[in-house]
Amino acid sequence: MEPAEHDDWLLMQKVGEGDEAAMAELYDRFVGLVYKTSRQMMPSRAEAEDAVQETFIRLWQTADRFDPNRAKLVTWVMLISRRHLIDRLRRKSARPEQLGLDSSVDFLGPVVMPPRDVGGNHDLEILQRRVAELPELQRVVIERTYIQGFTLREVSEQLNAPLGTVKSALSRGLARLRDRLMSDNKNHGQDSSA
Amino acid sequence: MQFNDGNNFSDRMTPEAGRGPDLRALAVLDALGLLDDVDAAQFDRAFRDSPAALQAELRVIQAAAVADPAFLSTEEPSAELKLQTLTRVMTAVEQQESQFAPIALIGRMASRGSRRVARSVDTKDLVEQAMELAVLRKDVERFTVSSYYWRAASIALTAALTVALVFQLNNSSFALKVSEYALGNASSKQIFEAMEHPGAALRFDKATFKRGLVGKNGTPTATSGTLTLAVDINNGALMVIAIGVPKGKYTVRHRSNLNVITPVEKFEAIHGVWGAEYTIALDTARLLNSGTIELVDGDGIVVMSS
Repeated sequence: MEPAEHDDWLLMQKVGEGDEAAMAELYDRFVGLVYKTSRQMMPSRAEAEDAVQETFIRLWQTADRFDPNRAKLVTWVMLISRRHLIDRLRRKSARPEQLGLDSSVDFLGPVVMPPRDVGGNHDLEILQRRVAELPELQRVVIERTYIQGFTLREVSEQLNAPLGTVKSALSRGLARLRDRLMSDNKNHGQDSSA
Repeated sequence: MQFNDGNNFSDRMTPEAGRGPDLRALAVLDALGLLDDVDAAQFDRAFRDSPAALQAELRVIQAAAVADPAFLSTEEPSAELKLQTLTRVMTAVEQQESQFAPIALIGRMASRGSRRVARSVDTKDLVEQAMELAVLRKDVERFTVSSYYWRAASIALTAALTVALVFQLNNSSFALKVSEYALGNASSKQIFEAMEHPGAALRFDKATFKRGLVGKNGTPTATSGTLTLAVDINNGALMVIAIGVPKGKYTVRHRSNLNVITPVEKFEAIHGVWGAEYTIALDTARLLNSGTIELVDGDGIVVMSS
């Protein structure tokens, strides 16, 4: 274990003991990522902030499970964060019925996204737009897994498609989506500086 | 219409598939929490079976994936959020602390330092806590010499303190879960379930529990004791928790159905509640799956047998 990883492990041990200073350090290091992920997935700022608070409670509760040999601390923190967000989404969202791909073309239409702030969530709008531009299967799989919180197996059953196909579509869809979003950010940066 | 986009992914990972590019792709999905429990467990196994260099590469890939700015909002958190978050977390910590505080303390107050909650339990913790419990127990016993009423109260209080001791260490570590099992507060199924989580420091594919060892030779001080063993047959981790075992040196040994005796581990019981963790040979660990476990005292007498 490298010294930095050992330090991370010690930090999480202290977090698990309820050490306030350690919790503050954990917050300072990761709140940016945790909040930005929450904001990307939650429809309002208030919900994103609530999700951040609950995520840090979960991090305290699960601190002893962190294994630096298995993952870096940032991975662990974000995994806990995403799982919490997915749990929230799953509690909120109405689940679509199980249908085969051949049963209805409409089934592959756009999913109903969470209602947005009055002021709008610009990042979420861009994400939705870019997801909508993906090839059909990639779009549906990303909407169901990444945004709505269904497991790959559930999506596989909903679509009556092999699990491997769904995994592959998700991997390729995320890669394509990432390229487009990075391109958007680049263009946005150029526009701002012009 | 069956959708097929011409990929070659298998429906289920195989050991062969769990290497190289496939493993790297799955590492991203795992880090994003997109694998279900079964696939996550299989990925975890494939990860642990990988060479150290590949593990290091996968850790870097995962860390980059979760912090990929393409999938993050550009909005920054508010300055007030820190105070709100820390307040909420520390409130939860304090609530748990009060929930698991001892019901009462009798006798002298041992120097406890600042109380800790929700900590990991290692052997040292357990022994330290057992020592505290032993002191409290002694005080309770001294306080309850002549009256049946007080004797009953002391037993109840000791049991409550024991449970409080265990639950004060409110965490799902192996040691705690085994302690709960030893006290009859958890089933082995619950322990296995508690162990199952991706990224866990401990993973037990299979463990064998023997409990409720009963005094065999009429030794009165031993008849009310229990010895709980938990062994992970995959890595030889052995957890021993003794409750109510008299002071002295003991040997835990295994007796096969063919009466072949194999010593497992020696230990010295110092307090009424005692625990330790060892690593034993894998062959010996696997032996504990069957046959009889015996606790032999310093005179070579079998005082407990499963």
